[in-house]
Amino acid sequence: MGKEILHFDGFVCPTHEISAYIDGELEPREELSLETHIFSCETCFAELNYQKEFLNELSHSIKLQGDIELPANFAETIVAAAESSVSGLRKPSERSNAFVICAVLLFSLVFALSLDSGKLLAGTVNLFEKVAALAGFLFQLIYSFVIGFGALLRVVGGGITVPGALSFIIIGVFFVVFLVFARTLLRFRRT
Amino acid sequence: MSSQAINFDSVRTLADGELVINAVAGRTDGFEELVRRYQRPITSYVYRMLGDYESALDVTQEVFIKVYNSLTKYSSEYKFSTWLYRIAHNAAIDHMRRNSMHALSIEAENSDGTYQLQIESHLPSPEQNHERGEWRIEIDAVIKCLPPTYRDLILLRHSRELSYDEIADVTGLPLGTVKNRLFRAREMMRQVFVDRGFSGI
Repeated sequence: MGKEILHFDGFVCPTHEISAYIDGELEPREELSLETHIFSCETCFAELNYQKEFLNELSHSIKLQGDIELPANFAETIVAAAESSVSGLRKPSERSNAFVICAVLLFSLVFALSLDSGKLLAGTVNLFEKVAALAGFLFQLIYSFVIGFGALLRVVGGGITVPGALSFIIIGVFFVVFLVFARTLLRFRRT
Repeated sequence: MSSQAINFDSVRTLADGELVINAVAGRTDGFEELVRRYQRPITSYVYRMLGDYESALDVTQEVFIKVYNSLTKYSSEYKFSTWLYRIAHNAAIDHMRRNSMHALSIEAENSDGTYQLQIESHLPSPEQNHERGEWRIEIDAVIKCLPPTYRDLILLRHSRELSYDEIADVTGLPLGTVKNRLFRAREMMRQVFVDRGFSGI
């Protein structure tokens, strides 16, 4: 039952096709071919009736179970949760606008800080020099942050001392791990 | 109040695609109607996949939030229900993977594409179920014991009455694989019934 049925002449009955035939999922050509075979093969004819009965019983029993009961106001709870979700029904253009605004604000802030720091932009007349000065300032900012973080780690680490280059690598690795972790966390929240 | 009632009645007559358009345009009653239409079938499907009521409610909520956030990406070339079941299918599979809920994991498929089915010993015996005339209890128990990939196909076909093409869209499997796995799943169930003494099947 359900296994391949081998005839004396070596022909294997297409029992797996019978299932799809009952579901009405065979191509007309396959259907015709199977019907021709079934009418000439008692085993497949019996198999067809057997499977038909089983599938009817299966569908009927599964449908009898019906859908499960839900808590009261489940739909309202879902809608409220969806509306309060972070991204919501935002258009892609809205998101890109938000990104541009954030980027402009960030650059404005950095620019203001660089102006405040005095000498950085002093004497620079053309745009190229200003951009170069700004890039230098950004690099200085990141460098200071990394060094500061390194100093903090050294304090937290107590007596642990590592050579300068190694500590720099450790900090770099830490940042990469931090970024990967943050990305994974965001992806997990999205699913 | 009456205008709200009229509004609510009007969305009930709309097709799924129209409700999606309404929701994208900012009308939350469109999305709410979609949730009302599909909350029970989706929760039932997820529940039968996971076998745990509370988890099914959580995953269903997760599914609809994802739907809400992805409505702008919905393509009308698919039926909305197919798209929704695809999201539910992925969410249920992700949940099972995260929680390692099954002794037979999705990856436990043999190289020849078959599984060794394990029926839990605490299930009621066939005689007990038969005496009570509750075929559906026996069938429910056997479905629960199927490997997730097979259980999924049985539920989508027999409970949700999806076509093979729709099942392929939902699961992301090739059509031929859907056909073969569905056949194997049914054979597996039939064999279990025979082993457990249900001679009628």
